[in-house]
Amino acid sequence: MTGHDDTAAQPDRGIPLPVLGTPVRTVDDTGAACTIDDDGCITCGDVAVALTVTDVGEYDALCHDDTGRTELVATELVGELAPGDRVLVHAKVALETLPSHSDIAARQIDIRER
Amino acid sequence: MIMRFVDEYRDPDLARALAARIAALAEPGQQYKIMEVCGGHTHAIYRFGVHDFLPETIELVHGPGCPVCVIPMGRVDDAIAIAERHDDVIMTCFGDMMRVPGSTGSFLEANARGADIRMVYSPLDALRIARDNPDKQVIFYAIGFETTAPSTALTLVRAKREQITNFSVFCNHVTIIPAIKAILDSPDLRLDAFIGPGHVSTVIGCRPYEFIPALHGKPVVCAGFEPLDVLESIAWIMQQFADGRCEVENQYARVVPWDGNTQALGVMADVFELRPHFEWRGLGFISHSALKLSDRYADFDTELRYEVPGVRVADPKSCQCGEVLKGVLKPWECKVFGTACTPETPIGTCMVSSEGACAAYYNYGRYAKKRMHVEV
Repeated sequence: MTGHDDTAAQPDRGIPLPVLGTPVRTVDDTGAACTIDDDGCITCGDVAVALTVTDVGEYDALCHDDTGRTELVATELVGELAPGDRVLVHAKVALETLPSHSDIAARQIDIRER
Repeated sequence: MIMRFVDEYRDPDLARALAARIAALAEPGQQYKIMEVCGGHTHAIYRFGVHDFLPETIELVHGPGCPVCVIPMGRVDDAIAIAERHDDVIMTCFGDMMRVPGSTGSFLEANARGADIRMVYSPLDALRIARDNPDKQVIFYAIGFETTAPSTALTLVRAKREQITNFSVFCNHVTIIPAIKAILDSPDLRLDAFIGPGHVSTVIGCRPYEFIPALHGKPVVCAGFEPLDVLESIAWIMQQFADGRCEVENQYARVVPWDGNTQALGVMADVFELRPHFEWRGLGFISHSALKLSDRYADFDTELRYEVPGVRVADPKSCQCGEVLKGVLKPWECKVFGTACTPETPIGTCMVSSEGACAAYYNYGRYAKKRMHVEV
């Protein structure tokens, strides 16, 4: 999860300000956010979430999850990105680029067949 | 609504199939002890009832992979002392850290006494608070393993690039490999295999675990966090036993590159260096197991910017978090579990974070020794 944020994120430079009316939360059926009295903390849970890149700036990218919620993500630790790429995000920092949805579907079939 | 990447890994039919495969691979009369290193796995196992799909002969042991659980009380006291002695300090930290008890109370209680301690979701948020409050000194109380350390490192790179001088980091980042080594060297523990951490391995890769099969003869499978990930990892471990193999495997290959994220490791190497030793709650001092800021980032080091009391505080005598962290005791075997120590009034840190073994047991109703089993 990248967590609920009370203030609009500001890109360092390069891309237009996103409208962040809806916070990004985990794609988790509890809808749990990182709170002090709820269901977990990103670092304790080693939590990271897969997001899709919408727009790319110099140091950040605007990303969205499968529910359409958006977040500004630092991208300096991964290679060059383009809209449509998928990244694994922890604490608003992209840690890795991810395979496409179709690759994941193939993996699911692999589990079934083993 | 279908959640891609989630629903695919929660399919009950596949879970039953994997459970049946695990049961078939288990040798009759043989006991297996498998440690899940990561707190996220502990949480997933009890949240989804993975435990109940396993034969009685397979025991899951909960490891030290919850960063909050391994923070010693003295480091909490140190941060509170800084926040309370300096009116211009805004201390920031992740959510679960707010409730960790120190000897003078928690961050939440210090807040109530007048200190300014705020929860953030990213060290980048702490840096933004520093930008927005140039007349304040903003400290990020950094905790976490190698999943979180790159975020802190990247934040410091940005702080340096932007010449933000009112920001510093109180670094408590720890590293997973020395902790695993300490567990393997523990004389009172018998383990057969490890479920390796998922997102930590995204950063460090799988190679750092190779010493475990090579020197200790125990398989390691790096695993994802969905119930099918955990079950499949256990199936892979059992298959290694059946085949007479002992190696590192990567079940979470859809996310974890074998060599990790070299870019992130490079930034971490620039920003951090290893401490000679660091105290882990329940495990004692472990050499080269934690990170501090390198000389290149000394200007951003809270411990150099402020006088840190550095007091060592013994854990409450009734608390048995140490034994729980090493997997020697199950949470419900602790004297105060569920009575004096609950998530609302935690005595030990394992009850604070929902990824802590005690909180996971408590929150998902694992009060009793007896397990219910799912027919597969």
